[in-house]
Amino acid sequence: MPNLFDENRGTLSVTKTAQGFLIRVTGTPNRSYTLQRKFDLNVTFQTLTTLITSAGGTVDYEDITPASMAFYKTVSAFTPGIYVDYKRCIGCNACSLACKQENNFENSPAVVANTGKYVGLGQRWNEVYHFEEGTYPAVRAQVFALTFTQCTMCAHRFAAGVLPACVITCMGVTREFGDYNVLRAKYLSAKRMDDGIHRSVLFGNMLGEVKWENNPPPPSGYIPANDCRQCHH
Amino acid sequence: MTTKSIARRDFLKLSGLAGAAAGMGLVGLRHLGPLEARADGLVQDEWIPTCCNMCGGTTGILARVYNGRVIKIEPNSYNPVGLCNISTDFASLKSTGARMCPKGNAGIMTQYDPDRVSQPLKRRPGSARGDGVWDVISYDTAVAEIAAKLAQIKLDFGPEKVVWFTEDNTAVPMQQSLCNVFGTPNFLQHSNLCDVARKFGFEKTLGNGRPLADFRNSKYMLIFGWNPLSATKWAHLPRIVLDGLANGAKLVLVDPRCSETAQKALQYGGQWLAIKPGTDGALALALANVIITENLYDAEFVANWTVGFSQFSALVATKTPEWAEPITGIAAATIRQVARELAATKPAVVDAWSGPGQHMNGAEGSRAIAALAGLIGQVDKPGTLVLPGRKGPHFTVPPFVGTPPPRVDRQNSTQYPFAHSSGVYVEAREAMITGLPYQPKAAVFVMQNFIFSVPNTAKSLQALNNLELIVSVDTHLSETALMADYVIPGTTYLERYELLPQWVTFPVVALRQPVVPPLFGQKPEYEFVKDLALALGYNSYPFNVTYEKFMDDALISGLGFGLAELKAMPGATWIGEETKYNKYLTAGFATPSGKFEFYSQQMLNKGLNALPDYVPTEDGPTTTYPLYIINWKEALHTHSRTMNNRWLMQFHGENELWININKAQTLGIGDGDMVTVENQYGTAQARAKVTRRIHTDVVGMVHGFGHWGAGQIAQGKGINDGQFVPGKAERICGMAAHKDGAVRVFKT
Repeated sequence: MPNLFDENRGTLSVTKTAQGFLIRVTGTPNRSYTLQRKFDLNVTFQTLTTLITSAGGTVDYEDITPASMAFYKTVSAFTPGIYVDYKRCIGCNACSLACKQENNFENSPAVVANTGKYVGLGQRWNEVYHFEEGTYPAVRAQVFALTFTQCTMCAHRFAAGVLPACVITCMGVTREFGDYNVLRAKYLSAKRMDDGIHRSVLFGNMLGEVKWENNPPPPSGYIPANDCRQCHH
Repeated sequence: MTTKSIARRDFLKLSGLAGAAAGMGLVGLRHLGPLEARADGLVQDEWIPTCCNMCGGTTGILARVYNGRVIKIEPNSYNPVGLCNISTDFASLKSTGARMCPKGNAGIMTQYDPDRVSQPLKRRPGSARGDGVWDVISYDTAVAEIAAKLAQIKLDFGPEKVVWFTEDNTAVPMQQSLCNVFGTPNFLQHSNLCDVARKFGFEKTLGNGRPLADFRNSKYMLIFGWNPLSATKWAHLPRIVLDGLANGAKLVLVDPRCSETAQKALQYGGQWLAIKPGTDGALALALANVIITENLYDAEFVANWTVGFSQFSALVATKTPEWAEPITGIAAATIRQVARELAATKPAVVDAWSGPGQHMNGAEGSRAIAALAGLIGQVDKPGTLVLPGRKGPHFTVPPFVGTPPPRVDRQNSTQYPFAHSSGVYVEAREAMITGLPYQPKAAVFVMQNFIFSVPNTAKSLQALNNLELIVSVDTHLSETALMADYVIPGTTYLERYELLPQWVTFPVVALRQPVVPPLFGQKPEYEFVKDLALALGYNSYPFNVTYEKFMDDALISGLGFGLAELKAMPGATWIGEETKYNKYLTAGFATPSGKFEFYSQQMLNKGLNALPDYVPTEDGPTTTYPLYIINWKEALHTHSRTMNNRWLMQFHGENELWININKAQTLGIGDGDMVTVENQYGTAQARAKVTRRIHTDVVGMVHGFGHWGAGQIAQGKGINDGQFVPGKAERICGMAAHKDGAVRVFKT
């Protein structure tokens, strides 16, 4: 089984089950998906299709939405990513609210693109965190927006040729959307984060290291209470 | 693999994107334009250009309607607001897309808020004002009854006994028209609750009360008490400040709180000056002292374009950094260092907003700050404070019928000699309590939560209880609507028209237009005003034409094109000529002398100080109440308006009381503890936020929480700052002094 991710992700396996195809990632925080419900944007469509067919299955386009199908079929070498310049982030939460608008409820654009299926209530995958340290008045503070793993990188928007909702609204003009590998090569000192943070988001210009012990992070894979989307992990 | 057939539009997109993906970047990914949006596979209906009103900034937006409901709001890149404030920047930045704040992104939840007022309400006879016991009545009945009662008050007591209040985004000309023909001079708008001190300071010095900082092209930014990175009135502010910083500008942010802007100043190698509230004027004079003493001022500008430099020099001669240090809490060495840098770095911005402004010394404090800009010759150039070119619609408003009686708020009198045209809310309230100069009998509030917006909540309640008739037009049962006799359901910005001159440095007029019909079939505010006028028997212009015609006439008169043309323009936004600089070289300054005035003869003529001397502010700490109490605004909320918005409240649902980390330690208060805030005006509970980001002797909070009305989300959340302050009006310009007050705080 090919190792689809970089060394930090571990291996991926696909098993046919009664419910569909179970995709499991091992060697990292445990994530398993049911194919009907989700697609993992860190997996290219081509590779996923190969895995499924080699496990004896077929890929039915209807299960994954037409918009995301178009995205994957065309850009099989493309992995969406976002670089965020955290020196510019002002922690305003416009990105969080834009994500909420885009994905939130029946007839929101994501749902409209996904052929009207009602996916869940109150979803969004951005959250702003504030950190401060130092002694008054020599304050050292950082504010930044985190994007969680469940973020779909607005695949339905990309299929239509427009940028993700968070990118277009950001007042600080912090976000650059593009191919993950291209961004990674461009911003060599940018970091990725663990603990449920989306692995294709690159954190640029972080003010030193985030000291989680002073400002505890959310539990792994945390979703704010109102925003659970009933996903399977 | 098995495939189902792909829809034709997906196939077309596949071929289009193939080239884009083959290689480096994502060519062709762009922001959604209104006409382009129709072509994309997502959109079934339309995107309509309009302007936001989640705050008064009127950022351009596009609203997408699907199956008759607004489902998404995005920025409108054809409208400069949200992009930048300089015309050359607009040309170069447009393709990067205008931006929108979190409130704009939450507009849907205001539009479809279940707590919106849907029907006209009348206070049930026999119930007490404020009890919130209502009978639903028909719109026609409401209009007829209100008109009859207003007419009776006019007959019995005189038309001036009707006082009309409004936020100033909603059909001001229509309301002014009715007040003029009805005969009341008492038409007040909210600016004197907001920033008339800033307007005064800049108007008296450089002749324009609305200058705008060109942050993006600046190399030094000295900002007093303004927080453009969170109190973000226009969605372009963060970008233009950050671009300036990224280009090497130094930012010095003067504020009792390490605001989001101060935080960025520190991140980009600038400074946060933790000043004591209400002392900004002293700091400004001390900076002037250094600049003049060390001969660092712009001698050419001062010699050719200013009046009163020698008197100003004499004033600041004693205002040394050593004098300012104990007053402001800023070290003398720091004052010298900033003064030298400011004078040596060009182009430079000196700006202020309501941090210094909303104090009893805020008008003169703002004038002292404005004087600095003239001292260093940084006026109306790229990268400095730019005086906007402004063009707009010209509404033909009927003149006042007869001789106007004196105003109830003593604007245009010896009191408040330089009050803004918006009036003095605090004084109007005072009249309701004291009966001086006369006793108002009725108040009409159109999109105005008087109870929460005028500081000293108890006084506002007392005042409204003295009225015979209160009418409130509001989307929610605000605390003011709860006090009313009649509540008329208001509209959101998605449901009505407006013509909006945009506050950028070049002439821009944008259209606000209905995106969906009013949700409950209610009439927009301008229609209610018109219906009221007709019921009162006034049927001449503009009450005898449609509102579209009124707007059409105003556009043609002011700009030479009509409503249909404006609607058809890209983004429904008219862009005029480019930003113009150095206008004073040909036209002078719009001051009595035609020059930048350090010394104001017109103020002297009114018995005031011609120079912006420092006077301490009022109602500060005492031994009993040793902590300054201030309040501020942030990106997630607007005034007291947004606390029932479900999405915004998920992100900030309660306003904590910020308390300095060292002060908290001495008081035994831990982060997250419930504390009691109290003084002679009130007592309430708040959750403490222990932080390094506020001055040792200052506590404060986001303004606008602590509702008992407005809706089920807002009620009981957080603490109302307005209950702790005397709520006086500054004596020159009538600015409501929201930020003068002192409390004690202890663990509950």
